[in-house]
Amino acid sequence: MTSIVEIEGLTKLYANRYALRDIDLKIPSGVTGLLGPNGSGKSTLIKSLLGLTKIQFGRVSVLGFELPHRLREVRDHVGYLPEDDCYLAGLTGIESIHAMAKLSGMHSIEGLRRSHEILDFSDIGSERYRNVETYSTGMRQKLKFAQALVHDPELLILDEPTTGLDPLQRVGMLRRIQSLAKRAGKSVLLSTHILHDVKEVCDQVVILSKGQIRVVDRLENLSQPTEPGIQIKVAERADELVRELNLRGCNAAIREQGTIWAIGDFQADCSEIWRAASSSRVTIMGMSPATHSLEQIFFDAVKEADHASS
Amino acid sequence: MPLHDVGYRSWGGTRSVAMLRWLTVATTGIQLVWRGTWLRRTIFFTWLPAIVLASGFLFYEQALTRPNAQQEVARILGAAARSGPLAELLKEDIVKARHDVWATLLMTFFRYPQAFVMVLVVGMIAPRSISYDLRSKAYLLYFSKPLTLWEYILGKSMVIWFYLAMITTVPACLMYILGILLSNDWSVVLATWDLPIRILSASMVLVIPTTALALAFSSATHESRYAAFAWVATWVIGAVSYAVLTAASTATSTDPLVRRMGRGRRGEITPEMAAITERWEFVSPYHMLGRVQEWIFGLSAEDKSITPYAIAIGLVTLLSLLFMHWQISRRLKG
Repeated sequence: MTSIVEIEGLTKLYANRYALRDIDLKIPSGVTGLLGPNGSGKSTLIKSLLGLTKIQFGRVSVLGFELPHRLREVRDHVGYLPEDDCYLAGLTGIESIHAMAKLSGMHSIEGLRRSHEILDFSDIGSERYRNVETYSTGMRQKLKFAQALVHDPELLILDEPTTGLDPLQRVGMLRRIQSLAKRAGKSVLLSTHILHDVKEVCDQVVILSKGQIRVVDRLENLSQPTEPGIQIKVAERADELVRELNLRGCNAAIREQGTIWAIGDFQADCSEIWRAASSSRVTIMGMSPATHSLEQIFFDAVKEADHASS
Repeated sequence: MPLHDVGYRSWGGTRSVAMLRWLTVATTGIQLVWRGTWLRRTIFFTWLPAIVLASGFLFYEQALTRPNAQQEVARILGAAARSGPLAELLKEDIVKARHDVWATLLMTFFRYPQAFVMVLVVGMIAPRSISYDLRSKAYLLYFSKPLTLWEYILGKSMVIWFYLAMITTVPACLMYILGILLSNDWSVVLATWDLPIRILSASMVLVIPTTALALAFSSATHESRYAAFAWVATWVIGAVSYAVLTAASTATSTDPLVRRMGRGRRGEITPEMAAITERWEFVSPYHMLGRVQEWIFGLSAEDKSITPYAIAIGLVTLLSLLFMHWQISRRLKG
């Protein structure tokens, strides 16, 4: 699979504080989720990819164009939806997108046609003729999405695209992102705090913490545990079942509220678990092969980063 | 609800030249500014002084066609010019003085009414120009497209240049063309061919530094009213300081003639009086610009050097541009 982004030894300092520290990263085409707690360096990484901020050390290449020498080409082929609430004051929705189309090099009439097409795709109807300053947060979010897409970029960098959207609009936005990736063959770098959005649309995930890359892998690989095991959901008294399982020689622990992980090959025979449940009088609600949840992967990565820095 | 949703379609058209993308910033800004009713009214009224000065061209050119009126016109114009080379030239030969009379009329247009309306028009356009983009964070949208910071500044400057040209260069050129059309023979073109170049140069001297300074104020704040205040204050404080310092210097002068002129009496400008007025010109942007424009129209005395004024104006322009660049890039990094 070809890499859309290649980063080697990227380091960015803000007043002697590392925002990004010696990052090596290759992002393949497809939809990639960029995760990380606040201040982890996500926005700095995105700005570095767009040449909006100067990097101190390292090499950045986007879609095969080296930065900062080929900045124009990068911006011609990348669409960016900023996290911040931003708009061109005084213009209507259609005028804003038209201006952005012309800035991307489209001729005026073609740019206007394309702007209407993209506003339709972004679910902005007759509101496009209203001043953008009268738009709701959700409308502005859709408008930012439209401006990122108007010049038909190969790579879309979306920074919190579902912020401020109601549940219906959020589903619509995620569907649009999915259809762009699946049908139009666009690559997407999706930076978000909403892990559910990542699970819904992403093929792979990058977790950033304290300015360093902690996890890079495909979602299906990440969800597979290193050792085989089983996930047991119980109604209550999970600790008693864990104790009973451990007495019987199984390696069990509480993973989340009401969820127990028992390490071992229980796929063929899980009679020991039923016996333990019977003797401890705990009701089992369900059992399934153990998989890592994205939440757990994220928490583990952040915890590991905190531990390393302390 | 979408108006005509056909799903996502790829786009494979050709793109325009990358180096001209700043024109979008300029044209969008020009269209946006033109929507302001008050600005349109102001621009309409700023053409009134051009009509008044055009009547000066008419008066002068008509006088040249009537030999018996020439002496009287020379006397009136000479009195208006008070002393100096133009008054001398008018006494000698009113026809030969055509170039200088036209240059004086054009210079007067730039120096007095248009310098005032320039402050007004720039004050209406420039403060919002960048500060609105900072407030609405539009710079994130602009710079995610293939546009450099200098191109953005050029586009924003072009908006102000366009409107300033509308109130200075365009009416001045029309006045010149009117003068040609009113004159009785085409030799006037040979006598005054340099004036359009001088108009363009004077416009550039007026437009470029003032635009840079006004946009620098605009880039310093999210609040356009603060930028507008700083802009107006620069001109008012400069002019008032110049007036106060000049008045103080004349009042304390040892020359009684200078003291008399300081109290508002008319008379021939003595070298000491000229030295006093020149001494304080650096505190006022209006007077510095006027000095350079005078030179451009060929109306300044030969022994006067404009180099310090040109350096000061160039320095203000350069510092304003660097300040603007720094302000915007600072926000981009944040």
